[in-house]
Amino acid sequence: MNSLQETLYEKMLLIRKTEQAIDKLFSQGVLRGTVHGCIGQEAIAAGVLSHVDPSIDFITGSHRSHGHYLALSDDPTSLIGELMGKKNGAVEGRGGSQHIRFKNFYTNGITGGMVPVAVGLAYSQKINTKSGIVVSFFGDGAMNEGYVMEAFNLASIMRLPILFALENNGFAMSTSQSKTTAGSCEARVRSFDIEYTFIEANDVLNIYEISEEIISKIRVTRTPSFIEFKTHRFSGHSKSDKREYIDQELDIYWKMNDPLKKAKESIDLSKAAYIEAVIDRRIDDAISVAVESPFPDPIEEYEGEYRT
Amino acid sequence: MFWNFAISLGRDSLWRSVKYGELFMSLVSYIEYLRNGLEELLKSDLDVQLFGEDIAEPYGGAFKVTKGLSLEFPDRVIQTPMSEQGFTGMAVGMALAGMKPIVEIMFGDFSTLIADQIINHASKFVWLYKKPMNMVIRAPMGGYRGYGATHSQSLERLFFGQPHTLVIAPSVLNNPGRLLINSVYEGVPVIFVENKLDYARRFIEHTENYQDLEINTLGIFFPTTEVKIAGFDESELTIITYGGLTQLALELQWKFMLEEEIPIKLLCPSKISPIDEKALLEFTKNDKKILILEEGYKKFGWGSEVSRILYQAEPSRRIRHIGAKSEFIGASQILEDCVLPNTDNIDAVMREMVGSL
Repeated sequence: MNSLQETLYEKMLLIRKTEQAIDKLFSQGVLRGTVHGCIGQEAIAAGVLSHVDPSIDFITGSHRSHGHYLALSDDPTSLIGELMGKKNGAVEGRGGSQHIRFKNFYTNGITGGMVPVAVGLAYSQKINTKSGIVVSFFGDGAMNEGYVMEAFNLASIMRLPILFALENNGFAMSTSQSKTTAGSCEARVRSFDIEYTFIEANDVLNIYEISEEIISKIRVTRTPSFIEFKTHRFSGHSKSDKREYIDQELDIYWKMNDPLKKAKESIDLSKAAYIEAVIDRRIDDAISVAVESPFPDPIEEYEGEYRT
Repeated sequence: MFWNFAISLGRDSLWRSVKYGELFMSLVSYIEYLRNGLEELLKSDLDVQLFGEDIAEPYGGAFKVTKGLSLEFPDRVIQTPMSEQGFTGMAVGMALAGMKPIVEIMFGDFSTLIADQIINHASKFVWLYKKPMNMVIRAPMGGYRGYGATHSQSLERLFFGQPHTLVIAPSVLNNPGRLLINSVYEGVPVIFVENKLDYARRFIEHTENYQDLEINTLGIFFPTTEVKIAGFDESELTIITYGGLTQLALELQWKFMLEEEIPIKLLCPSKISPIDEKALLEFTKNDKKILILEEGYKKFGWGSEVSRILYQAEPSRRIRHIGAKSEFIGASQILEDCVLPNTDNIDAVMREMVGSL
């Protein structure tokens, strides 16, 4: 039986190792298209998503959602299969890196576009006296999309049960937030009369505890809340990115504050080694299954013949 | 379910279905049919919600389509802030959760704002995630009212050809209430194009010469309707149009009969995109001269696609196409007349085609 610290470490390590395996597969030429990795940001997915049930609650992600997917599904096979464009993939090869689904978890490749969608999901949970809540993940780039501001206003004025989870890694693709974002995220959120919390995302246990408190409150009050996670991505924005725009000092700071390293320190060394061995084997198996899986069947042209 | 049956608009069988008859029998104008469809949906299905700007009492919508509904259903007729992208995105989320939102975009011109949520979200989810997305965007389109360049367009063209999206247009021939009910259960986002001038118009069976027309339909949920002059098996010219120009075409059809004794056939689909090719080809299989009318821009327009389908099926036909000129719609009457199709220029082309200049 795993302790809480061990469970959280295992989730984070699964995300880290899967992302590393995906990078390797890419350099081997096995993957098409592009991928958006989340190395460095794992603690947010692991900590927050421990408190939601994707069969009852709804979760929305963005182009960078491999971590959310793995935290919810615990299934690297369908993620790797999806990136390979295989039939065993999360959405049978239609989606790729940016368009994945697990139960009530949905992502899409348009920056900020899922935030108003998440508010609509929250509306469905409020008016039908359903018990679910919504968690919507997005990055700092989305904070400058107009309809994200519309979504905050709508969620607040309608008092909807939603947690806005901003994963602020400081860069919208290659553009530093300091060059793009006037004022502060906090001031913007507070101006919509939405409760705001700031967390530096280097301690998964801290994220777990604070988000538990906030999500429990949303379940009772059925009103919106917002967490800004200050984080850092060691992955490039996408496959072709060499990260030339990122200051060395920032990398050094976050290497020292790597949430995975910190989580590992809190557990027994032999247990950590065991967890790592299990995950290595699971990822190897996942790659084998995905490689063996067939490609999807050809599709027909849409003729609008749902009904005529 | 009551919307789940075939209905023929043939004169003898118009009200064959008792339930359909009960629902719409006492109504006269297009807007009454439409409001009745909305009311029926709100009554029969708790998942239906209306969203839009100024749609609740006392305003009741810019064109008064939802007048009174918020009194009957206060929690389900939701007056929103002016955030078309935001509340259309909400509708996408509601549909994803299994609800059936109906969104009113005050002027169809504003559908530029919602294009991202329809094109890159709602329709994609139908295909990516295999989720039925039951949602309808009601968009009043069209000009001839002097509203100027940003309140007069027929922007349904933005959504033509988009996979997993339907563009549906009622008319005085195609019951807007029934089409709306069918649209809500279609499982894909539906752009529901209402022509502003149609709201006040009488529905076909309440018009004076209704008894002199022969009306046939093909298709169940989104029918294509054929109108012929009763007693004439063959027509000299076929006009194909949809939405607001249907009324104008009906008037010209009747005028040509009265003044010239020239029988003209009118064809009016309710499913605009994708085009119901089967119905189109079936109704035109013997037609030699075809005139396509649309209020939107002629260039790269709906009529160009209809022409292609007709031409590929039978290259020997004579096909003409009238639509708006490629210029913006001015507010001044004379400027509007320059751009939008009008009775005079349609009449002239019709005379040329039937050879009675």
